[in-house]
Amino acid sequence: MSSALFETAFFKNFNMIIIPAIFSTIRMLVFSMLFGFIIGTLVAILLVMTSPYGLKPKPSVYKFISFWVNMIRSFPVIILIVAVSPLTRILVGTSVGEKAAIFPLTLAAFPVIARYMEASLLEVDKNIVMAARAFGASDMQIMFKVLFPEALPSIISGMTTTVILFLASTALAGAVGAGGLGAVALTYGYQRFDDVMMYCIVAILFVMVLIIQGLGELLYKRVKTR
Amino acid sequence: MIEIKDLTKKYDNKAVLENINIKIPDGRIYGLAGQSGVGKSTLLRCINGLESFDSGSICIDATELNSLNEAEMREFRRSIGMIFQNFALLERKSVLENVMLPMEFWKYDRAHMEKKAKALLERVGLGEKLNSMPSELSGGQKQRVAIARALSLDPKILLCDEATSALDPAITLSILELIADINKELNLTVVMVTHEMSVIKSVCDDMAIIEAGHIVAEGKVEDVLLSDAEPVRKLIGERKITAPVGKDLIKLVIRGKEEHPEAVCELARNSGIAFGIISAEIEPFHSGEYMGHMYLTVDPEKAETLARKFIEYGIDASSGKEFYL
Ligand SMILES: Nc1ncnc2c1ncn2[C@@H]1O[C@H](COP(=O)(O)OP(=O)(O)OP(=O)(O)O)[C@@H](O)[C@H]1O
Ligand SMILES: [Mg+2]
Repeated sequence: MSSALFETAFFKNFNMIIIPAIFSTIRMLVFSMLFGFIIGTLVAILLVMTSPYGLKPKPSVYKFISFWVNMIRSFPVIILIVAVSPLTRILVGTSVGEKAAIFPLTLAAFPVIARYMEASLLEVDKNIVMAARAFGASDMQIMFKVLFPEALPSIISGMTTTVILFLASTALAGAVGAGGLGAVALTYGYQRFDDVMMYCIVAILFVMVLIIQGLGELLYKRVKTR
Repeated sequence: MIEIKDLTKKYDNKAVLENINIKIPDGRIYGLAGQSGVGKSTLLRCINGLESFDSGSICIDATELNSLNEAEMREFRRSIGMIFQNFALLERKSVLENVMLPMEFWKYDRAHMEKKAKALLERVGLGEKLNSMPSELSGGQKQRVAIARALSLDPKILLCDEATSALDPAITLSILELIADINKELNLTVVMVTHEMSVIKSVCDDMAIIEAGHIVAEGKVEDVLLSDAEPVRKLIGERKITAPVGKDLIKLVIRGKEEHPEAVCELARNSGIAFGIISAEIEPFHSGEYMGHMYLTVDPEKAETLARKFIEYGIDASSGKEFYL
């Protein structure tokens, strides 16, 4: 009975195709989120510094950064991947596969992260910022000793949403050569009408969403109540 | 000494403060009163350079604010503490960490910060709450934390923006007492922005009333408040008192001397003129003296004589058919 199960085509597929695809997707997600987070944070700092509601309003600089952030954000991920593929080829050496997908995914993610973070940081009570100023804090001290610590719970929930959003984008990227769960679902489900495979992948994605959401909420509660 | 000269401040070409002149000697508690939106907070923020101004000058001791560059301005702000209506505590830091924050900005060493913060929290009566989070405190306790924080850099001046407006009357009194005590202990100059007259009466030495960006009354608290000046009436809310039919009113200004209320009794006995007391509002001021107004009713033909008798006693009295309370 059990040996029969182990020898089914599904199980073979699972071991040989789905599991590697899961890891591939996780790697793409983790790296693009990591790089996206780093770049997004830097951009958010610039936005919060220069915003009309920010620490040192410089409307023209803000508008400039804002314009590019909006511009990149307006590309649907799948189009962005194709649109920047020449650049990807120069940077990564190839425009297909996991590594090649990380670049456009990062590119798509950092403006989203920057915007979420900007909103979180600017949400911090203006009086707290004023109090810090009144005690002689520099802009950078306000940024790192006041805004980031106070906004942390809100940043975490923004990041949770972003990671879930980009799990879907990472799957989508499978359609244009990135590999991972998305590619498997499309190959087996769309091209070969293997419903079992497809729904299995949907279920895996669903579980991944639950896990990310759960971790995000856990972390949020941790830092919120502290 | 805080000296503000001909200060004008504009937002989008609209003056929100115009020709402000104020002198606040060291160690005084100075009240800035006025209705909502007249520019009180703006003026307060000009004093510690959180707000720039368009013309005039602000001198604190020998420092002219306009002459400071950014680094000097930060250094200057160290000597000025500030507290706010909504406390402005960091929600994710403990009470102790909140009090240490200003010292952190100035890179004090950890042990010193902790010792100082603990001593200050002890002083404001929160020695037991060091590790509580702000969300676990009542409004009054939060304001005490904010006061401790404001004192952490040993300021010479404390600016209070509606510091008690979010608190109920009993808590307000305890916070005001704390501020008054600290003012004496540390010879701290305090500038208090408020729209509550009771705050001014109970802690301030001097005051100014601001109306639409202008100072419309200034002086010692009792002089300003006991005067009938229109700005005072406007601020307190104009209430009129009218003589009952067939009677005249006499308004007495009771101030300073303890024997004043007794004088009223004595005159009732000895003047041979019958009068009634229809309203009296006499309260203790920050100086410890009881002051206020008292309104008497009397037969019109005797009014002049009675008023004169009070004046002979040294009590400011005037007669008439109606007065503003
Ligand atoms: N950043 C700003 N830009 C433009 N106008 C402002 C700004 N800040 C304040 N004002 C205007 O300046 C005036 C004075 O404001 P301010 O906050 O000093 O008043 P306030 O007397 O403290 O009032 P409240 O008692 O309500 O706190 C108001 O009319 C307000 O609308
Ligand atoms: Mg105000």
